[in-house]
Amino acid sequence: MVRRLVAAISFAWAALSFAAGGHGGHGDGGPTDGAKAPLRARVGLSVGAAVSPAGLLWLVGLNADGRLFVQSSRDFGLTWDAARLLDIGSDKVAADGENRPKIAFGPESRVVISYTQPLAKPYTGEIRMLRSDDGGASFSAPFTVHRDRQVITHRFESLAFDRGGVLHAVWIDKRDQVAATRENERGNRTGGYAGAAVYRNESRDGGLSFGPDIKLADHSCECCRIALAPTPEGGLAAMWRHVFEPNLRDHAFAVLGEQKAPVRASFDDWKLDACPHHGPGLAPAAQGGYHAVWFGEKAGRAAVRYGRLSAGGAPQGEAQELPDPRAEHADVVASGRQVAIAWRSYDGVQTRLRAWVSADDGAHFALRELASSKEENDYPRLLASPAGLRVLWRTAKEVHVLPIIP
Amino acid sequence: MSCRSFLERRARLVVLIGGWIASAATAVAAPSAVLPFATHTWGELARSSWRPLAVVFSTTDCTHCPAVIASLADAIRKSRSRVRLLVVVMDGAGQEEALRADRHYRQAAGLYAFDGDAMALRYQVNPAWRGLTPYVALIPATGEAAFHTGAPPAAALQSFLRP
Repeated sequence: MVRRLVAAISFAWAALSFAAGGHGGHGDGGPTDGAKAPLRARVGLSVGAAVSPAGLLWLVGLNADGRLFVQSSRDFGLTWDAARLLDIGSDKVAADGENRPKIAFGPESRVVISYTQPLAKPYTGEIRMLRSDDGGASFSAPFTVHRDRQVITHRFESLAFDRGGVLHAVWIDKRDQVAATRENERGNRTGGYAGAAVYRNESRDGGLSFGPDIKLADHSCECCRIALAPTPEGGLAAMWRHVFEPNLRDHAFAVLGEQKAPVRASFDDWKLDACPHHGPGLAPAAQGGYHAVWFGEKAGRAAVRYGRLSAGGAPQGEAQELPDPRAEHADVVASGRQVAIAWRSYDGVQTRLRAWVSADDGAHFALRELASSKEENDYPRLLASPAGLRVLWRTAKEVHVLPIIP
Repeated sequence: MSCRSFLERRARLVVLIGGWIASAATAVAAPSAVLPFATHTWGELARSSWRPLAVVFSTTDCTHCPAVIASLADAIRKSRSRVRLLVVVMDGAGQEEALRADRHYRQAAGLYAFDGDAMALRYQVNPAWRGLTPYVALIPATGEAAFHTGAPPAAALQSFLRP
């Protein structure tokens, strides 16, 4: 009897404890049993990589302590020079999923490293950069790339040098969405602003100074990476997930600096009020136009698809699903008529690194099994090097750099 | 009335009052901790005595998630059902202070962050889930969870809240 009373009071106390704290103490086999273990801080595995003019493979990412490092290899990943920590002060670096540090090499020994720094306010960030004039022997302190300094979204940057040595930065930016919301609140405007915008700028001195922020497009998707690829003329083309009317999250294409409206590059007609967290890949095709890969849902079927785009970015022919229903976060690279598409695929036990390779500019593809891991892992990155196509894949334990032979 | 009967009635009353207070407090309490969503967590949730549960999987950069969390919290509150709203911030580890301070997450009865390989954790929740957010799992008191990308359709939500 007394035991029942004690049990009843204990139950009530436990219920009150949960209600007050939202967790803990009930011990009913419920969801908080896992709370006995502390939450482990995670370090993002996402890395950027590029091949230097001297033919070295460079890697930038976060080490196990969350510090930004740069490292190079003279033999494409068989051995690595010692990692060097970069002084970024108190900056935080987004290195998870679609956000990753990046590195790019330009003329005159110029090297730049960029990353998105998340800010304290949710959904905000700024694009930061370090630059080098001595081939990466030393780097500057970090600086902000864009002129707009509002505490809003400036994230998911991509950057590359064009053939003329001009450095281009492109990013997702919410200044127009914020302005539209403000105007709505003042009664000067009605209706929402779909998605975010894509902005860009240029530097003609390797990042020492940048021109104005230029809007590339209104209504991009908010949290997907932007793909860049060289154009035959020496410029750069961009592909990103866009919000087309009325609410279709397909892809758009534009050549940076051209005064043309973006072109719709995919027609999955994916109507969605959610974040795919899954940006596209883009590479130049030998016969003109581009190879593109993207994730989307078409007629209810979710898949990563490959398609050819014209020089202007319009789809050419039917897109093909990759031969893996669980493929995700594919990248594409081309060198001459050699094309490789690499992706990762989780089967419930391990993640497989797989590739679709072509020796005839994408006319025919063959499937390759490249590696597997039971460790946490990053998205694959593809590189065209003088020694051939390579895929770089970081797992929690190691960095795989593997040749891809069509 | 015997002494034993009196004490038993008192005990039941304590339980009842405790339950009422707990229910009322649950509706307004904000999570005071960010709990690890580890390999066993989904299984625990799916068979928990806490069911029914509405679980929103989110990320710190998911711009669609706050609205879905708010609408679910509102629907639960208005329905006066005993559904508990949980939020799992997939990339929230290491940002616990910011998560607890985020007003969007304060509407949840429980707040979690992924603790481990995101791909494996996603697969355990639902192998068909491709990582889109918000991803909503409606776990009834008995039976299997139903999954929705984005806001659940009104009919599905009504059926879940008032079975």
